[in-house]
Amino acid sequence: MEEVQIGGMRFTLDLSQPLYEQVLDQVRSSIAKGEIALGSKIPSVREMAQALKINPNTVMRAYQELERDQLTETRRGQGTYITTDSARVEQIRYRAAEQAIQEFLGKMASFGFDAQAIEKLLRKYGGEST
Amino acid sequence: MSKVVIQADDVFKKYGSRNAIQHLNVSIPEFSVTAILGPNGAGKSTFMRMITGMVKPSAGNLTVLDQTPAWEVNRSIAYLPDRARWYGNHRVGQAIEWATNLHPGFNAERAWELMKSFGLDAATPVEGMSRGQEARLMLALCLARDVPLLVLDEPFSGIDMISREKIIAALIDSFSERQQTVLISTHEIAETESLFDHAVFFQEGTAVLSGDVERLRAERGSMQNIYRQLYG
Amino acid sequence: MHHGSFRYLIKHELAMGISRFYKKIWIWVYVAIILILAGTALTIWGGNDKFNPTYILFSTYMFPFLVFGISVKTLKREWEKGTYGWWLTLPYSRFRLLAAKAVSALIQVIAGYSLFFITVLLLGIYSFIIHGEGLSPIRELFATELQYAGILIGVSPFMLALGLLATVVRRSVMKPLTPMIWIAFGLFGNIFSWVSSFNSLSESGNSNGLISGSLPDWIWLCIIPVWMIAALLFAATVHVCNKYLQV
Repeated sequence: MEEVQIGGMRFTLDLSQPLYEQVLDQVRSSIAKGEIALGSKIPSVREMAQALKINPNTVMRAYQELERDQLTETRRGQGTYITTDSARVEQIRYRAAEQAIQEFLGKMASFGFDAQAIEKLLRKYGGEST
Repeated sequence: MSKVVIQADDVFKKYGSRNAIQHLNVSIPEFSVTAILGPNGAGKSTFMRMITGMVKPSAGNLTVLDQTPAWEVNRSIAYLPDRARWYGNHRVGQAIEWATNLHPGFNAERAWELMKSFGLDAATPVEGMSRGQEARLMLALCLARDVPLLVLDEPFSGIDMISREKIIAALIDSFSERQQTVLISTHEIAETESLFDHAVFFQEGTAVLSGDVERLRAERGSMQNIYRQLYG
Repeated sequence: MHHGSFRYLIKHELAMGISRFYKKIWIWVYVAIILILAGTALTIWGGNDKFNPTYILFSTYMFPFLVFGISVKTLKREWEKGTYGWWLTLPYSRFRLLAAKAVSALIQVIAGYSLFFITVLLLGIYSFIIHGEGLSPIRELFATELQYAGILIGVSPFMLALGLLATVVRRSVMKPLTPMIWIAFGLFGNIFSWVSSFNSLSESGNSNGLISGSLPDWIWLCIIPVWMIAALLFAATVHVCNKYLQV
């Protein structure tokens, strides 16, 4: 499916994988990237479902998981908000980074690069982020 | 274990020597949005007609909302027939009047809201409508009913893209607002598979695969892919 | 039970039947032409038993067949227009649904008859007035009309029920029974032939139109049994619609 932007977040859903996990991951990822600020309001279940053109139950499941994770909180009659707990968001950032590194190391290993070779490359391209 | 709204146990339907439905075993969970998928002639429409009492099984047991399908049960079922047309002498207002008078649980206010979002106003005559407009009208009449079961037989068939998108948006709204068991048969899998949480794949009158859509995705990929695997 | 639903069903059927009729301009053109021709014929050839307005009553011969047609149309329409799915899944018994169609067809038939007989009476009055024939021919015409109307009232429910039965049987597994229905159609549709043959048996002499003078009284007694058979045919229609319909 093509990319959808809503409430400051970006989603690209792959129909060949469970959607609920993807919605969850991509919301977490948006939080980690700071695409949505702490304490800001995220779209309602209905709005999200409409934008992504998916079943509201799927969105609901993801939202419930986020709430369990304490990344979001639902305020009665007002909607769903990102947590104001910056430590929690930091945790997510780190977890996302760890996951990215593991994926990276796995990929490099498959090309046949060991830890030394990786370090060499890193120094060459020196932590420049695009 | 969630409640089952439609239960088919070894159901058969014979037309002469041909089995339109055979060994059909299906359980539709309550409040699920279920896709009924399969090629033409696989028995999808026959199944839906059996649910609404238009067709009676030749053998086997079929229960809908804990009852045998009959006109009485249709009070609780909003059904969009396959290849249905609307009464040509009506205007939109009269169509709503028809439903108000004949369909229990019909919410005229909701119907007017839906008509508005579909771009249909009271004076528009059915006679000059495009297929897409007529489809939107008929779907609105079904969605405006406060009933536990919604059965849509090929609601997207032969409809232009804009009408399809409006219909999908109206369905998502409906799913957000109320608890309802929904059955939709369609060929437009690519566009609609994200709406479903349950799916039943029909072939030659029987269900060859069924289950929770997200679980099927994890096991076998997208519904489109599964469709190709089964029928390709 | 949804109150007022039966009344609405009838209203809906009437609207369906009548709206199509009104829209066909050629029907109105024909009606106008016929009226003009009849009026002209009466003016020129009327009076002194030459062109008696009662001759116009000959056309009632067709009416039983038209009743059958109206009845068939009211049901066939659901399939022709692609609305049978809505109709069959309405939360009302097939008896109710079919009864609404029967009642609406009956209303259309009665309205049609009334219109016809009143028109003929008016044409008759016009003719008798311009040819200065006084009141007695008008009374005679009215009496004859009542007899024609009587026959029609007797046979119309039968033809109506037969029409519904024919349509339902055609779309059911009972299709092979269709020839029997056509036989009944032919027999009862030609009711005026039978009646006029009974008439010439009981009374020799001239015949003014299909029926002249008065018919033997026992013919009127036949109306009740014919109505009862009509009711049976309707019951059969409901039964076929419930158990044997093939959609």
